[in-house]
Amino acid sequence: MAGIDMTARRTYRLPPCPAYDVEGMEHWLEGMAEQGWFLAEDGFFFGVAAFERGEPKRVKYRLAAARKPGGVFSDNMGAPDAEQLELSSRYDWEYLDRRGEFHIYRCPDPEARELNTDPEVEALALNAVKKRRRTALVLQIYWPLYLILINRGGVVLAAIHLKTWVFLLVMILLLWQAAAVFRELKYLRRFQRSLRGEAEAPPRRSPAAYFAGKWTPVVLWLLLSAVLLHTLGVLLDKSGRAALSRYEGAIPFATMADIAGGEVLDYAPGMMMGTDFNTVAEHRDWLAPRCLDYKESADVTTTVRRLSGALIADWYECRSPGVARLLAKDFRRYAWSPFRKRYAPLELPELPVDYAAAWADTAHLATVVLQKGDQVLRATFSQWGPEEKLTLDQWAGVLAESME
Amino acid sequence: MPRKPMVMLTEAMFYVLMAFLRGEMCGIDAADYIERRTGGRVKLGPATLYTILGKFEKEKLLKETLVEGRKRSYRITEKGLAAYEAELARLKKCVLDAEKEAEEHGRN
Repeated sequence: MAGIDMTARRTYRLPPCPAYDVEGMEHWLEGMAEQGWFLAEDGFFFGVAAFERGEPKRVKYRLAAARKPGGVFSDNMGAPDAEQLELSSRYDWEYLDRRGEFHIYRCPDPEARELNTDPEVEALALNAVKKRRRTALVLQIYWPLYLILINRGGVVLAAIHLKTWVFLLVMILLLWQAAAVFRELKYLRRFQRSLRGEAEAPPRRSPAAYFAGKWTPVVLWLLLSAVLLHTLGVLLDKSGRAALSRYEGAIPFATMADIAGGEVLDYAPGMMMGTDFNTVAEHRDWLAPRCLDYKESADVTTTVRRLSGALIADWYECRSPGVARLLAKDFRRYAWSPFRKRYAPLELPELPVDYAAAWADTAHLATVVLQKGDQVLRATFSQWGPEEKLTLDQWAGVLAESME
Repeated sequence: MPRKPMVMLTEAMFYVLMAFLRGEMCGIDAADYIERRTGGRVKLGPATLYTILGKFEKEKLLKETLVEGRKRSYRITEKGLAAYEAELARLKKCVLDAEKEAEEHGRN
């Protein structure tokens, strides 16, 4: 490295300020140089700076706004282009690395020509950075909206299925990131105005506040990833489901035998190999302290009729009737989201519940969602065989009557 | 929304356009010319020069003519010439106003 005597020793540091705090970064790097630590070429890696040992001396570090975006998909990994490198090396400025939206240069001669000699032009160069960060802000705001509106159609449904605390934490982290980008934009705007002499230099955060703001969400994201991986493992593991014949809890809604009506004379579970039919899984969430995921397939003969079919039901005991109503509406909203084209609403008679809706899907199977008090039941019922089929009004009516 | 028009030329920008009046050249040659012409008073930093060249090329005040390795050459366009002459007229007017003021109120 020209003008600086290096030995092999290295040390690693966390920068005490964000990448966009130009003056903060320059002061910090120059301070490190005066202690004999010089930023290594390509010295930034996942937010950590690598320094190499040298003779303590005064050098100049300067940051220049990057004209083009960075990242693995960018040209030249976001490094300066050939012309920029040619111009800077001509005046003894060595390019080291890029951090965020800024290129970092070093010059061994403290008296050498400055990298930026015109504040108005330096302010002009920030326009490209601000434009990219505005795009980043829009994307940051998009993801929380996507999670709510597009992914599952409703907040309550998304929260219960992801687990409410996970959902809230993800939302908080996404909004935290959006706030960080907003803060950066505000800083850049103020910095630009200060370069033009229109405002004071922007106030800077203390290193402690910066560390807390930057690394807390990183740690939380890592923990969340671990939890989500574990949750995914639990979901894929079917051993958590109990066979209906061995389930000891009460099923709080009508089963196939109840739908058939009368006294059961014969019951034969359906043989559907490789599926989780004739099992039930119980789970819980803060918004719905008891939830059942129920799947039944059987040939039932009662004193009233013979019935062959399958019942798939999701039942929730919610924290309150208000939450239950929101959940029921979320189910309906999810059924007819613009990405699910084959949906047809079905009429239901007056039922003894607080809320009811029904629809037919791609396979022409009817699904109902019923809400009564703090309970919600979503059920899809299919029938086969030569026997006379029950109408939607009939089986939906039995389910509604069964809800306490 | 219409794009913002080019900001008023700063001293550095004005001298860059002046340099390219001499003909096609690369950025470093333009910086050397400016330093000579101003007797060392105006020294362009490399980041400043790079930003100005990029901005002028985008605004079509300069046009790239040649790329040789890491060097890019440019020439001034009609639009660049017009911008230079407009700024020159403005600066002359400023000097004229200052001279008139000095005459009227006896300031040198």
